Amino acid sequence: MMPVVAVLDNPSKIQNPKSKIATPFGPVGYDRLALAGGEVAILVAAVHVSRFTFHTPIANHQLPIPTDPRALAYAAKALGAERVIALARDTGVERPSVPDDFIEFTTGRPTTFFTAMGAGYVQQDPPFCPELRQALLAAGAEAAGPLLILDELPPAAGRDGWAARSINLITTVTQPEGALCRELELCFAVLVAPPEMVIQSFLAAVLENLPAERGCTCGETMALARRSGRLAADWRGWVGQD
Amino acid sequence: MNNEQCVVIFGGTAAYSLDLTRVAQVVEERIIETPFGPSPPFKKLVTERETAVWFASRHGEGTLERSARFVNHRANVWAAGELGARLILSWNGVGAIRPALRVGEIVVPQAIMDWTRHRIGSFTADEPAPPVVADELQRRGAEVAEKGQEKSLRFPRLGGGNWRLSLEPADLAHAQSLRSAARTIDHILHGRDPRQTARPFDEVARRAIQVAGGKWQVASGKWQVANGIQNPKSKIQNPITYVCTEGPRLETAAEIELAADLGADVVGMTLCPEVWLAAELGLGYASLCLVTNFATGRWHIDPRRDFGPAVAERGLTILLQAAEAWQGERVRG
Repeated sequence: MMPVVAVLDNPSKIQNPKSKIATPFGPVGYDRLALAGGEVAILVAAVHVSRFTFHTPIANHQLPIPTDPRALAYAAKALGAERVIALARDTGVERPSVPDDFIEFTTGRPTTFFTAMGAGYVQQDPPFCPELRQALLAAGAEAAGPLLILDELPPAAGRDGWAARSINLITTVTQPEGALCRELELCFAVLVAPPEMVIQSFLAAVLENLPAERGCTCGETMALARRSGRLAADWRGWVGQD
Repeated sequence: MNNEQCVVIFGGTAAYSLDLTRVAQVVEERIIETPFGPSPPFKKLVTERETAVWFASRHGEGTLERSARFVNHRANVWAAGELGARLILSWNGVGAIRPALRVGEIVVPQAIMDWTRHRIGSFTADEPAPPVVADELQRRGAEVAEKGQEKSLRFPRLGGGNWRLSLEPADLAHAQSLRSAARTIDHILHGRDPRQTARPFDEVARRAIQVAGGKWQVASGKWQVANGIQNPKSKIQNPITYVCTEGPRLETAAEIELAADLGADVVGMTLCPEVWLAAELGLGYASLCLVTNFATGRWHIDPRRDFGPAVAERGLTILLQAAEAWQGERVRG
């Protein structure tokens, strides 16, 4: 059975996933979650290793071990999911929130599958799939403003500066995963949630609010390149196009 | 064309589909081996007025082979140096941020905000420059503005160590406003010599593009002559700040809003690090920006899109005239 939705869980509570899928960018661990509205694949986007000590004075700090964002997008597509929710677990929020836009200043992360061809100029208007975002809101999440994605979370003073610009959600994850999912013509939206939130019942409500067939245009993101023959019919051939 | 007058033109938007023979004669083609890989084919163009330049297409030949994110700028600029270039001119398709602009207009940038995040901006570096974080720019920009007439300021670099910024009187004036200060600091955070990057463009070449572009506007009938080329309807004389984003994905509306707040007028993906690499080799650099569309979130201002070979032909035609004028200035000394 193909999952209706793939969730990129970050950081994930799944330490030992039951399943694993190979991708050209490394394996991705995941668990299947059977809900009334269908199946959801919870992909381990990053896990925290416990009691990790490094050379700075911050002892016993938990460092996230991230999965290659290309592997996550590839795995979601290969599993058959057409919709992807990036879950950013954030201590800064009390209720699940759905941003309406994003600003990204990450570095050192792969940003595209099309490393040597003129594809990947994906429009970001809208920045998230409107249908998927609407389902998240209908399931009870709060509508929020833009999400800022940085390499490191800023100190409190830095957060104040962004808050003055009405940017209250700041995270280190969800991009470039989103851009990569869009390149594979997947629907993509972000849910920023409290770290301890149990997502099963919430996801069940999301599925209830999703139409069976996609009514958005996310599945046509690369249509021009496909129709012109610049991209192969099989999406697996797009990866690392030279 | 002697060595003192050698001009290289880099073609941006739609250069790969441009029929060069519609604009000039192609008399020679060379691929230059560089320490950073082979260059794209450089073609020597000669116009009817016997202006000679070298030309290369950034994004490939015949089709869009590589997005801006993957242009080998180091090989391109190094090859330009090998060919004896004293000046690099380029054209770029840009998205308009400033509401007063219109699709189809041409502008000449005088300042850059470098928001690229994965590109190697130096011939001597092995890794991309450290990230630019906009609130850090704002904070340090405010610091410069508060210090006012200080002639020497120190800033910690993101990559470690300190920059001591000696501000010349003209640069002090440049740093008076928060926005322009933020631009100056942008360069500092990238670890570049501010004396080189405070004014990244060759002023003589900029003026040459403005004059050539103004003539093109008049000749094409797009704007009526009101006061020579100082046409109040034309934006070509306006000071323009170009924000260079990483891509290949396009920007979000929120990113464009932030860029606008910091003073950006147009957005593109190709000028950086080309302009910094040219500065490292001591080459002059100036660019023509062709407004091909409005940036994300601003399509309601002007929804038109202006891509295709006609844009490239316009860019090359104007830059050939600018090259001729610049070469004339060199001859006159």
